[in-house]
Amino acid sequence: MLKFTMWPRRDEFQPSMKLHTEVNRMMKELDCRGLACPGPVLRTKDLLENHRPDVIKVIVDNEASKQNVKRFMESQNYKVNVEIDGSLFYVIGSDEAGSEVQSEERPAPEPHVETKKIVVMIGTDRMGYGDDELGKKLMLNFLATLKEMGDDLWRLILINNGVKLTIEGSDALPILKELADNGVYILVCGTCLTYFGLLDKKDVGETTNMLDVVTSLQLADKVINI
Amino acid sequence: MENINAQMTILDVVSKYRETEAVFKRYDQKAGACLCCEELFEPLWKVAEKYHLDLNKLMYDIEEAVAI
Repeated sequence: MLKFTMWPRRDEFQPSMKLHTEVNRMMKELDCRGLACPGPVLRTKDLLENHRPDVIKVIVDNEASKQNVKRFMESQNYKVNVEIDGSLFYVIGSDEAGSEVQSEERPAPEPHVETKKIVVMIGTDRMGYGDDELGKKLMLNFLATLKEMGDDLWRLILINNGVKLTIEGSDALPILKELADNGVYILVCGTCLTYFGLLDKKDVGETTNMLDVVTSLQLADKVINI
Repeated sequence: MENINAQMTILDVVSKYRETEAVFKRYDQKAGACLCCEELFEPLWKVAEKYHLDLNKLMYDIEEAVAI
């Protein structure tokens, strides 16, 4: 079933995004909800290696990820506090050499209300029916236009024939890599890759399973299914 | 390509060669546990020993995944 929603233009976005940017000069935040191990640790590692923020906050939703992210941060000489909010864990690391964040001074974590979490699930490598070549072009156009969602685009899930967009040589690869570089989590169905014999050909995104898919759909504010 | 050896941890391997993540996922069934969840910071030889895995086969599968 196709669900399609109009969203505001980029110049109509609220200034809460600018506030988030100002905070990011001191603190970096990673939302790793729905990611299976070792995803949260790998993302934390990439962030620390590329930015070495004074403070880093990683949000995870399972005990194993919480422990692994905590352990990794500590191995990188971050002082770590963990806050629990329902089923979520906020693993907060402060650089020993930088500013320290005291848990008693820090306000309680607030739910993410400003930015929507939109999941786009793609089960095919072309859009529409009738002409396959046209369908492939439409899909490339669709993927290229997804960036207009801005920070609201949270995850891209590729299943069935959609996984073929992620393999070496795919015309969609540069577009998907750009989305990934901009912080969009791209989840690629491992069962599907294995079925097509493409497991080792994937060149973007993380290989995922049905649990990750279901969790992502559960956490999303909106789901667009192609 | 850096030589992958059994002293490297699972994190060392998957962070350098992301394609090896699929290999460890395949071994979850044999191990009866999520290796990337439970043993991320353990060296490969220790993981193999703990879960009675064929270390040579594991190393071969990892190297094969990287070579492709």
